[in-house]
Amino acid sequence: MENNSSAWNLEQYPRLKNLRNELLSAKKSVCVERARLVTEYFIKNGFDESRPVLRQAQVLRHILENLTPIIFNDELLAGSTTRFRLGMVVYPEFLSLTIWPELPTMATRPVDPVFISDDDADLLANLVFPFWKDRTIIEHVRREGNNPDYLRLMERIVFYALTKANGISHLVPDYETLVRRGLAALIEEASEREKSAKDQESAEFFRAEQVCFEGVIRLARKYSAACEKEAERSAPERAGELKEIAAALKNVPARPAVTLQEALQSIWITQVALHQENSNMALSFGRLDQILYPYYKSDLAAGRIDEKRAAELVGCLFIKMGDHLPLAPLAGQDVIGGASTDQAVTVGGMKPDGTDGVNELTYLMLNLSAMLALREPNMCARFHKGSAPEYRQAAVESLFHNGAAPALYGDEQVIKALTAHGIDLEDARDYGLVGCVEPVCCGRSMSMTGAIMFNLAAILELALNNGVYPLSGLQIGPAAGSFKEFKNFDEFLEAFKKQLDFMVDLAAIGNDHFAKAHARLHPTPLLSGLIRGTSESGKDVTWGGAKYNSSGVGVIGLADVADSLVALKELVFGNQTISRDELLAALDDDFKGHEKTFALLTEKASKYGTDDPKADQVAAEIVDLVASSFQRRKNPRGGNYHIGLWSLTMHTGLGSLTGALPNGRKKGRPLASGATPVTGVARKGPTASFISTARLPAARIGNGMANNHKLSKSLLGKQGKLEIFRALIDGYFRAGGMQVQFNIRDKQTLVHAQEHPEMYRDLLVRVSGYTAYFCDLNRSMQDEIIARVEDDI
Amino acid sequence: MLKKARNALIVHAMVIGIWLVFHLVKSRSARFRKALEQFNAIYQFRTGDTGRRLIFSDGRIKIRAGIISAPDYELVLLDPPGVLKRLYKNPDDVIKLLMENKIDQRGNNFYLFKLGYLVGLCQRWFQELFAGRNS
Repeated sequence: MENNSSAWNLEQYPRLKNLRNELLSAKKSVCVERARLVTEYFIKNGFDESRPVLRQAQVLRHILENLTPIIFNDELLAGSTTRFRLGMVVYPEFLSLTIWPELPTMATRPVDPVFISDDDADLLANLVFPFWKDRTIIEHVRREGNNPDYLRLMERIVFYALTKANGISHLVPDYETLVRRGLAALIEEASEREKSAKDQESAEFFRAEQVCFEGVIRLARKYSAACEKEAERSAPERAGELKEIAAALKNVPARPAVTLQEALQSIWITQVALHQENSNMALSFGRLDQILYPYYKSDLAAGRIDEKRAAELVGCLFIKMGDHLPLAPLAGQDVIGGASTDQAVTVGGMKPDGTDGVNELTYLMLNLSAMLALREPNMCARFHKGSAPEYRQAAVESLFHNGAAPALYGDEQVIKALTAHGIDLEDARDYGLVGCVEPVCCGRSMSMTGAIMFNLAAILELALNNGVYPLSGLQIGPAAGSFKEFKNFDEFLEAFKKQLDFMVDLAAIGNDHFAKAHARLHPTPLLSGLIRGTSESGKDVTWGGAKYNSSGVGVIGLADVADSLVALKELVFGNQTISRDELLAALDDDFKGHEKTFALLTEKASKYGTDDPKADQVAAEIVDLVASSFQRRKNPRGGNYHIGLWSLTMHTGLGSLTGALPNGRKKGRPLASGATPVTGVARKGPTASFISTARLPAARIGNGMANNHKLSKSLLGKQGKLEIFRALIDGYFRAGGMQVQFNIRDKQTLVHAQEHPEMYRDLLVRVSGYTAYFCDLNRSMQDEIIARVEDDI
Repeated sequence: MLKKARNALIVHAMVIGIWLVFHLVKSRSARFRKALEQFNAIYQFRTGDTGRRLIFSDGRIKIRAGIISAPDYELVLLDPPGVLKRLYKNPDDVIKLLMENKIDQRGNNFYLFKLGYLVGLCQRWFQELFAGRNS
């Protein structure tokens, strides 16, 4: 097989080319089928709060038995998340009500139209949403807490977001066990455990698992029958393909997979089923190159497939992954603009025994990622000291051709972070990425890596204003001291810590309440059956049944806050070049009329990202502070909070709500994304920037980081530049880097795409964690990416 | 004093304006009337100690001046001119109003989104009217 991405092109894969085009040209459509089925079920059978696990299993089976099987032309795998080529699932029990105001006009609006028929819109408006009025997770939490403060603050979004309001996800199911053993074996095991269960709750859990697994098998059989029916009216060649799919679905996922196609099919149909149970947010696939390799090898050895056929099959899965999108209101563009559902696939890296795990499928997947260049999957490539040069080269070439993926991960630092958070070494080595950039133990963790999105810049604003939030003028945080009266920087830092602890407590309390609400109202027995630990514990993952339990936090604004604290330390409290009165006035006036102060703050203070140990030390201390603040608390499942440094597109949305900051950032400007230095600050080049980021304490960053960089494609395409690029990355990981991701794009291309989006429909960019089509992003996000400094190598 | 009067005027005008538009569309749109079936709710719009209620009951829509202690949903306009500006730009962008701290709210957000939906139906009706599809 050619391991060189540049040798692969879509003309050699007409099926994949066709499927890719179909996906890219499909219009986004809201699918109400799941919402209708779940609502009608509860209207008919009642909503029994006393037996939540079994109840959820029964409604899921009802959904799976009644979903319409949809088969598209040319596919080699069957299963559709919705009725549409590109659909959005409605979860009325979570936050889907937020799109209600847009239902009458969303199909015809000029910005981001989403199709929904009037009949479907009326079904949601007049039947579905009214049924769920008091039954959504968020209203349950509001009622139980009597409209609690943490919820009211959450609804302001600017301080933190609690994503459990939108469901349970952000983890990797145990697909290895699924394909190896099949659901029938798991049903048998659950049945035995039910008979010997220690209590009624466990017995019900094991019963619920069986009900769910049976539902998935029925879904598969339904698709099998549909394929056979479709074959009857198809041309001979296509009929043969459909019969193969039908045969595969008769075997999997009930029984162990035998072929590569069966393994892929087993995974995909189960993924479809999981998305009917709970939210389609970052339910990721794990280490597919490891899971699928035995089947690939066996098929090749038996002559059932060749390498090209294998690529076609895996390519079909990759394209399938993009068949659904998150359903969010237009205001959500500021938070997750352009996002897919962020299903990550991880390749390369160490095996659990520490040896290298790269195989032929690793290269195949990297080549597919380069060739298909779609926003799903979110491709992630693991590097370690023992990674072969040809693998590193292949990953870099894949990135060059794709332009935005894979994101690259340093095993040494990630494993260090996971073991520091209580994960066994072998399990830590087997990590996969979830969603944007979060490392988890595949198939063993209830990780909810995106549970809290936390705005650090808001904490700084509260500290500067004695707990008053400038945008609203309201006293939000504690009165921890007036900025003008602090005697030194340490006193200010104390005030910052008080605001931090206050907000962390609120966010964590809120997360806890949402977690408990899920356990009561919407447990996830199907997902639980595919997470290790639940068989031993007899508990749903929402009840703490998984082997590893944690909650993840995405911290936004590190670089701006670090630079601001450094500026305060050096120029305000240190040499007192800027008085406190002057600083506050300058911030209030957005630096208008305070040009000298602005120049001092932007030019004279040390900056994170310039290999300046003073600034990097402050950034590291902030990470430590935030991690310590969250780690004062446990989540309701007895797990820890893991912090990460990534931001989705929230750094632009939150930036628009943030005032001027002491690092010289002007009001309304985007915050720096993820762990990346502030745009324009890293003037000493990429090496200095990487060294700064590598100084962040990896052991404290259990929820991953997004270190965003940009390079000109035409520069990188020059002779020798790719090798320099590879050496830069190698050096970064040797220095202790945890993660890095790139936009390999020319600025002119991005600017041109802004003006002529119709010519750049599939132009991929890396946002802050996930990849998106540039033209799907709102203008502020596009501008932010364009403004990112191009590294010169 | 002037600011208070201006804010009160905006609140009253908004509610009366919504009521008038709703009445117009209700009389012309079967879809809008369907959306009012079995929908009973009291919305209270307030700024400071001035308020007006929008009441849905038995398919009818009424307005009343004054504040009550337990409406189904209360919207407090913290920045009435800002709210007007935002709604003018994007009538169904209610979430942006919350994010920008232009409003405070009490009650089940179901009611907020339902109101947004009714506004959306009106928007659609007017779009079709201007496109020549409604009479």
